[in-house]
Amino acid sequence: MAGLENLPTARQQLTAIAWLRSRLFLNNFRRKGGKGEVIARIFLYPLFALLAIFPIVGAGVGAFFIVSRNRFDFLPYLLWAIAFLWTTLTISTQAQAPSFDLGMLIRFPLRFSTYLATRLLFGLLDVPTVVSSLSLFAATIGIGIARPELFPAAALVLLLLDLTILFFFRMIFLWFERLFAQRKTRELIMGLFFVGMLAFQYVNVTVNSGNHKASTPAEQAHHTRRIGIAMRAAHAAAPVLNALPPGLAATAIRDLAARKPTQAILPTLGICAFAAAFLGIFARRLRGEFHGESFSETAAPAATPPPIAAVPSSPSLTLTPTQTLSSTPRLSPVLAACMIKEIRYITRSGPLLIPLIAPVFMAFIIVTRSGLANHSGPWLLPATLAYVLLALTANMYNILGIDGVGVQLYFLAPIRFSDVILAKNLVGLALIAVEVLITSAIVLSTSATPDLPSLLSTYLWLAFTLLISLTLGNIRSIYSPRLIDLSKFRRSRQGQLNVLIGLLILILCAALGAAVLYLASHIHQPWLPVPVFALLTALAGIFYRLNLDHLEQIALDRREIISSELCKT
Amino acid sequence: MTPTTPAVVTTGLTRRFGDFTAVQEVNLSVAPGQFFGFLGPNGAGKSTTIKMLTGLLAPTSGSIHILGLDTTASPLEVKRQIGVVPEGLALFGRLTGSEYLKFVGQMYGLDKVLTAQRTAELLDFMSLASEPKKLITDYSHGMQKKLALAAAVIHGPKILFLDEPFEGVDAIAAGTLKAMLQGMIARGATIFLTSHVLEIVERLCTHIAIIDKGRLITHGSLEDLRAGVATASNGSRHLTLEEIFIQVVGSQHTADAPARELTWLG
Repeated sequence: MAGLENLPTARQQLTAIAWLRSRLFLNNFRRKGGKGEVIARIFLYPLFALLAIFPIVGAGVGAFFIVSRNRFDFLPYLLWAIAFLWTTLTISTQAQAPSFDLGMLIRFPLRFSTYLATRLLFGLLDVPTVVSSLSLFAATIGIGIARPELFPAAALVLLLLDLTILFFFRMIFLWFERLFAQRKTRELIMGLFFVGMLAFQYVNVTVNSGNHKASTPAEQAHHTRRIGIAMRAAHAAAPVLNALPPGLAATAIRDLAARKPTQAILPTLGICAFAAAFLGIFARRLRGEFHGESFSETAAPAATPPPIAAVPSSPSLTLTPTQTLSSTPRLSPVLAACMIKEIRYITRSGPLLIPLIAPVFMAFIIVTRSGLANHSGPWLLPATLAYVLLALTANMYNILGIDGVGVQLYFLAPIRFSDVILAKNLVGLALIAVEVLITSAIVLSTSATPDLPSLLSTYLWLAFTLLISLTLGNIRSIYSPRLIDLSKFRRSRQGQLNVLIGLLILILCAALGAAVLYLASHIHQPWLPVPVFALLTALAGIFYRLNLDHLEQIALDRREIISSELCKT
Repeated sequence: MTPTTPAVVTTGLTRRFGDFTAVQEVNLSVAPGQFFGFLGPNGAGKSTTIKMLTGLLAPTSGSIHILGLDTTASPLEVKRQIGVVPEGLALFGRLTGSEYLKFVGQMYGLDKVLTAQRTAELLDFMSLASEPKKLITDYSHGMQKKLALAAAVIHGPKILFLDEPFEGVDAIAAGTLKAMLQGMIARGATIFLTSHVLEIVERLCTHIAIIDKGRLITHGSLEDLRAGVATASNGSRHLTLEEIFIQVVGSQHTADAPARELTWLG
């Protein structure tokens, strides 16, 4: 068999796959715009690390205090908080996962165990996994410092918990891809997701009052009642929560701390059972894929040839060349068609829809749970809106990415490319307007309403920032388009440079806004920011309009690069 | 445009990618109503030429006139007159077939009623109407090809450019496509296609051009080519297109390649 006497070992194959991954990663930087990506990562990664340090240190310090003060009743909450952090990060961040579909590996002579190991090992450096695993590690260290004799056993239990949660997410995402591959289940899951989020927010509003100190007897009574509801809810949920992996891990550590190692065996075995179940379900699904079942939406089912008898009876085509270019006075048909297409794309793609929902969801949690709403400074609304904007602006810098091969149509059809850009911008703006509206309602309903000049300044600043981001995003989208794979959950690629540019623009606009506000406050002219931001918005609008015309020619000059980048398979 | 205006004329058409010249000084003329086959081996410059003709790629030098209109001076007017099935098919996977055709119709400026009428007719003709809710991403390759062709003709183009329309298409779907293309030719449209399936080209095309290494080697009616090659080889036998192609292009390639054998195979 031409030198194929022995099958390669699993180790050889894993090494080869790791090499492939590393080459893909490095070659990614050799592409056009690759240097920009490196620079973006150099700037962004320390920033991410800085943000990640808070939960990690918090977990360590929290575990230390819980163990040193013997308050093991709080340990389940800490471990559940880490599990919640893992979930939140998983929903709100993009995967740093392999830049190729691991499913393609099945065409090689791979053993299933090797394939399973590959699917488990790759993606371990994903942000949620790293941050949450480090948080669990920090908690282990915290426990170890408080009670050094507990360290080895706690490390083992928390390592088991870490693996269990890892297997859980691997399982969930494989099932998600499977479920999202069918239109009906995709819509059902999205519906359930919405309902789940709303229910969570309802519970949150009902029981949480943040850090607000009740000042009047009525407020105190209300606060006590809500605390009572929360306590009852916590007690009711406790048996369930304690029977799940984070609760089991906390119970095991508590038993170990109480020098009852035999009692700790049962919850530890419980975690092992969960881990085995998650891994088993994951492996079962994966085995299906390994044997040729396709989970991906892009995989077309086998062709069903039309009945032969249907061909001769097909109606004949009597198309004639047409000169009809519609002259609708309001919205041009091209603009309307592109906008409808954009909306259909967004509503039919979980990977596009969830990042749109997540910022408002997170803003809600941050504003209501942290008690920020009760420190109702004038900065709360602009800061929250800036946060929502931060999460959404990265999409503005790659507006052609979702079109894939369809982008060719824009160059083939007798249309102005700027109309396509305008349609995408209008849909993007409409979505952001809805998010801004919801976020404003959340902030304004939970905190004191700012005065009119602050309110007007905030929205004018927002309009200015949006127009600047849109303009620069359009330029970036044409100069550096990146294909977004809508069939894979958490695997779209906006590019780190786009994230960095979006962040920098937002920081610059925020700094400008802060400077104007500071000046207005310094000279006691609270209305000053309003005309200033109105002028800036008008200038940004003119800049946007002029740029849109200019982009027409740029897109035409770069049509080959755009097509070749987005038509990649 | 007069009735005698050529459908496609290229003059000195050249495209370079850095130091590499993909298409060099191509002078081509396609008359209205011709079923024109554009052939060549892999990497010969077929797709680059068709991309330039359809406005997907700008020429480095030279000019293109479609129905008498300069593609550089009047790109939108040219695009309204042509239909294209490009290499990548230009489909939007998250739309249904019906939605996609409606979208394309609107992009070409058809009014809603006409677009809806033609969408229904095309989907029916292409046997794609049975699963109206199916997303394009879930279509088989053959179904996607048929849909791309439907999209290319929805506005009733005078010239249709097809890049490998029969690649990956089963015999039944190919039959549907061929019937439709022949119907268009009968109604006066011009079709310009590239294909590796020489039997289909021979059966459909009246005129052929062969490109190799970026240069146009020969072009004319199939009978002219047949006569030219037969004369050159002093034969009187009726040559197939495959034989003509191999004589014009293949002999040069096989002569260049040394006789080699992969002894470890089998």
